[in-house]
Amino acid sequence: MNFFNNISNILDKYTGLLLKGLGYTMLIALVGTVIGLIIGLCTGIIRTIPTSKNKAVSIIQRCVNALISVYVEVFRGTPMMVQAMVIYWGFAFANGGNTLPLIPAGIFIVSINTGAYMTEIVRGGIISIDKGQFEAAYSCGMNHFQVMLYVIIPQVMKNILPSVSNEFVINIKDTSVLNVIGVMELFYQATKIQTMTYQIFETYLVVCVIYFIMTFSITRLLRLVEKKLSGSNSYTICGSQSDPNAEIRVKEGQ
Amino acid sequence: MSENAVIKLSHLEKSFGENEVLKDINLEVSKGEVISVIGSSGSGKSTMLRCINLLEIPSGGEILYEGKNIQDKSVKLTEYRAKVAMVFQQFNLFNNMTALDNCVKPQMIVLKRTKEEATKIALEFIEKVGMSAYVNAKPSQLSGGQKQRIAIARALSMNPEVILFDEPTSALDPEMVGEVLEVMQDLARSGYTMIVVTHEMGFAREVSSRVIFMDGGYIVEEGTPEEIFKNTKQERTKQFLSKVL
Amino acid sequence: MKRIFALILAVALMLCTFTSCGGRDQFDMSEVNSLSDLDGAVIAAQTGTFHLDALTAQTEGVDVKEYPDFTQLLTALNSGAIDGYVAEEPTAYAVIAQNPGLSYVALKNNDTGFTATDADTGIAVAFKTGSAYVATVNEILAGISTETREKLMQQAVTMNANPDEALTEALALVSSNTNTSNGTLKIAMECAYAPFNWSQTTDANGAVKIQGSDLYANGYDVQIAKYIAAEMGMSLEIYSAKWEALITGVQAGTYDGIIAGMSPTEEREAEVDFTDCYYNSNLVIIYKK
Repeated sequence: MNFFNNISNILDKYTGLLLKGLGYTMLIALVGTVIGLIIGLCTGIIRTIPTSKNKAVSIIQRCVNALISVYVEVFRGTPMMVQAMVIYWGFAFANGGNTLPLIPAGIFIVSINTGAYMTEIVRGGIISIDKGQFEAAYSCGMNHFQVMLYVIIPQVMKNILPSVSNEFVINIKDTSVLNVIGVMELFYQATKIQTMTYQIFETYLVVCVIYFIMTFSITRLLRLVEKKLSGSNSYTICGSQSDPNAEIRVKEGQ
Repeated sequence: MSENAVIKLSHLEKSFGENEVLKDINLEVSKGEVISVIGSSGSGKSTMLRCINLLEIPSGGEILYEGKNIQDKSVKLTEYRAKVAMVFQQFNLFNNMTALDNCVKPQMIVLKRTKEEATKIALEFIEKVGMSAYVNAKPSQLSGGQKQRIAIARALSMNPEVILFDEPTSALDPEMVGEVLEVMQDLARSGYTMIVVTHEMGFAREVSSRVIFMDGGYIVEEGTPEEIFKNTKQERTKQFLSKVL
Repeated sequence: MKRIFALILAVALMLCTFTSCGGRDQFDMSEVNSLSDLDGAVIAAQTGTFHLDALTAQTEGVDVKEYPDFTQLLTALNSGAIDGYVAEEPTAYAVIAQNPGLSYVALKNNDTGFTATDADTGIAVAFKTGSAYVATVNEILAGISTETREKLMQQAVTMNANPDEALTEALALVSSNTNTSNGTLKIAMECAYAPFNWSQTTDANGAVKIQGSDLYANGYDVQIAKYIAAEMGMSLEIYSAKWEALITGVQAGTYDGIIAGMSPTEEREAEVDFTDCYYNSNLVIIYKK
């Protein structure tokens, strides 16, 4: 049948392009999500710093918080495709026609976009942590940074992991908008292949299947990681009343 | 003022908006003293304790630690807090750490002790509170009484000068109160300086060296357990004691 | 079992939707000899082109559609969504060579068909406003005869039919200058507008590597670009860009010029400077037989 011939032709001739696109999509989505998470954690830490008694410092704090709010609102309130165009061509006009290298530009755009969403996710994560955790950490003599790094963020990470994985899967799909600036991710390769094969339906069907396999397997994988991270529900009792060397494994809920 | 006061509160005030919770609190705590703070809910006991650790910022007055105002710029807040440990009503163990790490990590982070040193110290205190068997357990796997004992071991591991107890047994099931009080009695006998906000009149009477009765944001009466419980002077104290005893 | 049933149901529903959508009455294009015969037809053109302007302004009773690129026009035609689309005559040759089921009506310039000037249907090289390249390139273009242009276009159509196969004859337009000491000429095109410019996976027939891609560009525009760069003593770099980004890229300085089958219309003249035309073609309408 013609249809299957077309499909096998596409797979035959353009596997290299598709794989390359797949690689770039994964790279940009993964690095973008990780950097976005780091941005989110940093803004989360900054936003929760207790207000300083020093007037000058507190004014700076307020300015920084306002800046973060503006960043979050702007990047959550505009489509990533538009951001990509503005950043890419804005840079070109500002730098006499020199454009950003495409892959780093793609990573940059996905990172700051994801960062805006992560800021909110992390904020929600921090709010959900019991106030007592902060108080206990402060009362031990930790400073804000230590409290965040050793006590709060590890707990936040566990809580927000489902949202973060979700953001990663969204990014795999959303990197496709970077084709407008010519980043050679999977969708861009599809647009190129369709101009060579003139077979829009077959080309995008193949790409559709690739995207689905990617997001589906990653969703499953991340769910496994989440399960693992939520910790073993058993622990060991060292020694017992009768035998000091005994080790007894205890399962939660027993 | 006496020379050996570790903590001195002078004219301490705290208000939340319009609500004045502490009005002119004056108190001196000497080394080795075990002070029980009693009084009805809303009398300001917990707020006073939280002010001492600066979890609440006082609205007025001074808190002196070894003669120095702790709100002064020359006093580093984190260093001060490391010397004044706190045990909470809700235990507040770090949920992301095992029982052992709860005692080890703060030492490493704040006091810059090595892992070996910190572990040795932590294990010693965990044994003291009778929790050796549970070093590997996560807080979610422990009962309330067990959590509170680990919380006490965590406080002790920091080698504090003063330990503040904020109603340490109030969130516990009745059958678990005993195990925690036992540990606290033990500490009192070992010579720790303790300020204990409590509803356990038995503990206040038998263990403490001084009892403070607070009401309406003031210290109404203070004295030895004998003076407070047997020779009560103030009418309000009498009323309170008649209700709880 | 339940899951399998649900799956079958979903597929069945999808198939039903697909089939029930079909069945638009096709317009018989074989009878069309002039623009007035198009009354009632669904005709498309590419967004942002003179083709679309002409279609809108010079026809009556035509249901005008627009698509962002050439591949989508072709797909729309093949799927039956449109009855035909406006293109340049060389495009028609290339498309029909690959799709035997298609044909085209030539609506001759200034006759029974579209009224258009050279500025509308001729294609020229674009540079940044005020660029000194314009005069130089005009001189070079003047040296290419009409016969050479036609021959090269025929070769482009032939090459496009089998991009990876070598032509049996030499290319019609080759510069003898091999000196490239005058720097680099950065030229942008869609690389998706056969036979003017297209993408292919090999460097057959002198295709030029597309910057930052694994693909190669070839076509009439590419051969012209190669010739111009060689005559100017420059090395050529080809960039692939979206139609809408071409002029922006030249204004920003990202590319030096555009050689993309672009007509020097008035609106574009306001944004960039054009050279003389390097090819003139007639507008046609491609339709399904």
